[in-house]
Amino acid sequence: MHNHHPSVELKTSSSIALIGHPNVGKSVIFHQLTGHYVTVANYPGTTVELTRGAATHFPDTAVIDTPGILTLPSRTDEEQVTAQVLFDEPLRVIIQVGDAKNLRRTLQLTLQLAEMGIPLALALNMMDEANHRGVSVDLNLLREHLEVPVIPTIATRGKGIAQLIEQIHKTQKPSFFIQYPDKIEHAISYVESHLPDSNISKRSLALLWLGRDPAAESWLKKHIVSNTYQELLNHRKLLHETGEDSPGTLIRLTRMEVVDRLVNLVLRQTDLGFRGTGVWLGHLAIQPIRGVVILAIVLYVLYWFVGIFGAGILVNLLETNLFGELINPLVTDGIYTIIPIPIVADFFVGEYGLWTMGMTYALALILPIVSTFFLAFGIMEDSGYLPRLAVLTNRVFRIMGLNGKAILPMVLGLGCVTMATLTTRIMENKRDRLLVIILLALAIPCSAQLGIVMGMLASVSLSATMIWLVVIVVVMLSVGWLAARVLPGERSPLLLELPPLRLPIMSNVLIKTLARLEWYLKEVIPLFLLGTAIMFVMQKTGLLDLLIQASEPLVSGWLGLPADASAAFLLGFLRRDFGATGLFLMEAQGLLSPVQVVVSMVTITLFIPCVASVFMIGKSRGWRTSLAITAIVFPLAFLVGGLLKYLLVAIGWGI
Amino acid sequence: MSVQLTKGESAEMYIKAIGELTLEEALVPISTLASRLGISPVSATEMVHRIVEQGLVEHERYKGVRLTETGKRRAMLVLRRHRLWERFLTDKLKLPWEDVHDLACRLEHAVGTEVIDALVDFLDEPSSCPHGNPIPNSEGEFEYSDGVQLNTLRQGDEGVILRIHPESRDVLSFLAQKRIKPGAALSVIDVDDFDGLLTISINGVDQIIGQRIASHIVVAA
Amino acid sequence: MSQQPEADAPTDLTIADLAPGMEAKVISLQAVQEVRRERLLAYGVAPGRTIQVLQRSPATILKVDQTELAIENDVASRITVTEPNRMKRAFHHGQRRRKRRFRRGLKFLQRRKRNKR
Ligand SMILES: Nc1nc2c(ncn2[C@@H]2O[C@H](COP(=O)(O)OP(=O)(O)OP(=O)(O)O)[C@@H](O)[C@H]2O)c(=O)[nH]1
Ligand SMILES: [Mg+2]
Repeated sequence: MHNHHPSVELKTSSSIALIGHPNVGKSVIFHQLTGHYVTVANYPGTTVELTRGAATHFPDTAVIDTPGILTLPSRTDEEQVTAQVLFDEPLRVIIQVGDAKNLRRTLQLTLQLAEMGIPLALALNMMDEANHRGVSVDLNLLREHLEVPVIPTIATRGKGIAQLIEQIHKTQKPSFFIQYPDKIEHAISYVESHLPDSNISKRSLALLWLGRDPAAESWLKKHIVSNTYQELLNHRKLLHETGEDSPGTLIRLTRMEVVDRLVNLVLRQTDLGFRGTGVWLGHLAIQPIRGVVILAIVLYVLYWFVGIFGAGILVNLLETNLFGELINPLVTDGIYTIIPIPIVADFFVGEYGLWTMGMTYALALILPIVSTFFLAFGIMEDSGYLPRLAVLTNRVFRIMGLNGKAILPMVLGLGCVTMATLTTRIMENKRDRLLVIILLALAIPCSAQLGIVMGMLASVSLSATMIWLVVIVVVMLSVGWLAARVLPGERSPLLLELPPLRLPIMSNVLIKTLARLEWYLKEVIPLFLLGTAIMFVMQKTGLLDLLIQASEPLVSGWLGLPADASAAFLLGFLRRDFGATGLFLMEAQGLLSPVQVVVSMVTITLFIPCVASVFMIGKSRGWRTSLAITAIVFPLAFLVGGLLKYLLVAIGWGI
Repeated sequence: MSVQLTKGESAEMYIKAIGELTLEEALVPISTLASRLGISPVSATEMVHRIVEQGLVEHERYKGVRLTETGKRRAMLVLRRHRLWERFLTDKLKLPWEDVHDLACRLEHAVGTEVIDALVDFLDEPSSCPHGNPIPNSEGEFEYSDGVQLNTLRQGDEGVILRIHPESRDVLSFLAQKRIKPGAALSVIDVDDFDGLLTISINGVDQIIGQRIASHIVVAA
Repeated sequence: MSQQPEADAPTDLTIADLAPGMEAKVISLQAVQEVRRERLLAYGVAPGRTIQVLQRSPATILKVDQTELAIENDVASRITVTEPNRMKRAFHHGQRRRKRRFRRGLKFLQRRKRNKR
């Protein structure tokens, strides 16, 4: 999820950009060229921001991994990020990473990149899959026609990478030229005459402009006087009004024709298409009934691995046995003998001690849960199941005015709301993005919290888990339903590529899990320590008692929880999983009845998102949005919790 | 023109497929059997259980299936009928080489021994099917002549195509399209070390074929 | 047969009329909203290209070249196509189910035609 390499500002005079369609292996090749790991997963839209790394084989050169682009002129946010690279970066070479089995699509982009006048190499990746389907490409003929180096690769096995590096040295400005229909050619020469110099050729800039590329538009706005800009705008408008097809469509159709001719020349069927178990399973997973059965199995396995194995067995082992009986007594004794002043010692090992609370929570409770979750999640990501889940859940998201694609940020949200917020870039429009962010803030617990919640509920009864699930789903659906009606704009229907099911590569899953754990601990431990310190100060100054008293009507009266639970909710402000952990310990001490467990779990699940995510939403969607979301979510959580309590008591559940 | 197969016929189909896939004593994994028949592994497993009960095959869990002595004999006789029909359909009815395999699959279950005996006489006791595979004798015995799979050849090797094995509609029509048939002489011009594609010269033309399809072509080197 | 349909009421056959397993050539995407049309074109769902329908529910699953694409039925019903070709021949044993499905598909088409008249 998170993989910012602490912003190493690479000071290089030139760079190599990896550009290509989504899910073709750019990030794998980036790893091969730089040694930096960035998240690799089997769904389109894994990478949503730029990552730079020093090229191992080229001195003073940075390699840039970019989000995949389906269409150029760019249309979505993440495509714009990539288009921006073309304007802003001192590009020495573009490496297009292409999918060999989808040659037509790949070449479409190749032609476009070739027009830019930047040295270009085409890494034809996924050769293994092309081969498996019995299609192959006459590479020599292709090279001859494109006058661009074409290197076959199987990135996941490191095949062809050495040749790619070798060819990068030899790339030259491509001389490929497409003649567009007269109408377009006239427009190009008119626009060209008004253009300043840029990184890319005037011709291709003009083409992007005519296709209404937002990145090109904003670059031009900055680099030409507003009068000229206005003239160009008028010219383009006029062009749009004459003729049926927009200039963008005309340009695209011309390119498609060229590509068709080229593909007919170089693409051959050399073997039978092979339909293996993967294909069979892939289709099964999206069938109405059998697909749901598979989903149920997947969820059960996930529940078992994270909820029972991680949150149950592992936590028990670490919390009770390792920390409770071995480490903590030792540390406590040690600290008391080293530091004779009780209040200072308490700061480290007391009730709200940095070690006994902060570190123990983080290491004994959270760590095992998130480790198992990240591992299971990594496997799921790499298998290609997630896009299929999007198809299966499309109808549900429809209720909330979204399409199934929203499942991707939502599932990512289980790991990290911050990254999930970034991933909303893959949604088609602003409205969809905002909707997903609201739902993320409201109803998606992070995995640590989820693990604790599941662990606690499981220890009560299955019906407790079901009640919790139903309440959360109902709340999510109704809020989504309402929000979809309030927000202006139209729902965009599902349109999603289903990548082939692939066998997860264990090394990738492991690297990814470790990278995520490292990031997680780095983010969590300081916050946990800070939270503990605040609690400590509040307790010693008597502020805590005051607060507990103050929130008594809400927590004890309305929710019917013990007054001490206030402290847990207080922690929840910092991180939801922190708050859940507090409740977990209360339950372990036998302080909570079944009704209280369910009510507190529902409330903490719906509770305001953690500080980090409020911050992230603020940064990407504006502070007003962020505040508004918080202002809605907070009362809602307590409202639902309280209502649930009255309902459960009324029907006499759990007594 | 739909032909609904009865239970017995599909059992024959299964044992024939197992018979074709068996190399000496080896077990045939159910997944291999399923992909050979173009069905899901689940239905294959189900059917295998049924024919195990009939005593035609033995099933070793997680490993695969093997024909029993009775099963083997039955399978070879089905194979005999199948290949005889193929001969008949190509030689006498002049039907396309690539279509007769599927047609014979439907005829092989249909008739009794008298017809088959008559067919043998009518065809003058042919020794192999149009795709080069030997026809078992009335005792169910036959032998494959020595040959190697085309995908094991190296650059510069030459040979003559003996047979196409295992046969399937997809394979046969692919090969028919490229005019690759038994009896033709070929030489390997190049084997691509990246993706294993073979460039072969056959009937005076260069053809590029993949490893998988090449493994269906048996040549006498 | 291939006149341009109006934006809202496609008059010709559309992808939504095809049964699983059928193949047809795309005629026009004019009725699809522009941004979506661009994306479909980029995936290869373009006039003159052959698509195969793999599944109809819960969404339409298409195969173009080696790409599998999930689109909502609403979008599918805006893409006009030619008459579907015969389904790939399903001769071999064990493929009876596919054949049945094909016949069901044909009936489906005939019914649709009748209704239109
Ligand atoms: N079979 C096969 N799989 C590959 C190959 N290269 C990459 N993959 C897999 O393809 C998937 C996508 O790889 P990524 O590197 O994340 O693709 P990307 O281009 O960065 O994708 P986005 O960031 O979503 O645009 C992963 O599951 C990889 O394991 C290859 O050569 N062969
Ligand atoms: Mg990537």
